[in-house]
Amino acid sequence: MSSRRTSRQQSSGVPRISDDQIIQLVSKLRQLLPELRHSRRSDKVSASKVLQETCNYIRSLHREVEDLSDRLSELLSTIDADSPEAAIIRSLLM
Amino acid sequence: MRPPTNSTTFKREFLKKWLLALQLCNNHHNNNNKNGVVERKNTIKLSAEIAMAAARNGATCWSRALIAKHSSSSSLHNQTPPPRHSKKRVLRCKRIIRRSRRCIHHGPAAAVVRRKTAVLRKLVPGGELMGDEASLIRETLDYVTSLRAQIDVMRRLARASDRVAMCNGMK
Repeated sequence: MSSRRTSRQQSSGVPRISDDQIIQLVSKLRQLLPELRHSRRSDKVSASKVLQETCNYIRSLHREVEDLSDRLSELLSTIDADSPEAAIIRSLLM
Repeated sequence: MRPPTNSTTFKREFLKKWLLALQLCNNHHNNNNKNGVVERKNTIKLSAEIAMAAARNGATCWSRALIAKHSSSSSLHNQTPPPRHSKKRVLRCKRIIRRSRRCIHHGPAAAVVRRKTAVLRKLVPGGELMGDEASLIRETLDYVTSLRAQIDVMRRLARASDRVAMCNGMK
């Protein structure tokens, strides 16, 4: 099995990604996830759990963008881009 | 892949591009008399997505994929830069990556990881084009951070608009 992996890598020229690299990246991902960030356990959470939570999190972020777009479409409809209100909004946000 | 310099810088870039896109859409719609709430919502969402990708300045695969996706179909065609990946090239890349990705892991646990990774690829723009898991995870990290910045700016705008609407109501 490992010889198959080696020969395939030699033919495709892709550098070997170390397991450590992946572990590091997965732990960075874990830091981002609200569900897992506060877990005190120093044990590794399984990679599949991190991936699952990541997918859930991305879906919830997409939903939030949808909701905010809904809300903004109602609010912004009354504001003309050149009006003083728009200038106020811009200054509130900067 | 260049890391984002600063969350605040990114948010400012995003806001600038988003407001510009919204203004352009407003002008376009005012000319065509299309003012439905659904239209407006789609415009807001679409321009926010494009602005988020553009604010990344082509440094990530996901941002390039989003811009390419919207270049071919969006109503903002005067604003988006030309696509970096034509459809044919994208299909070729997918085929090559699928061929090279066969059976890296073995065993039932690895099958679970593979399944979850496949789901993640569908959620992250351009995910199908990222060859190895490390790239996918790196892009995911950047994409999630950018999405959070986008949401933060949108939330603030909603709050500010609320305040303006309240002030107008009290006049």
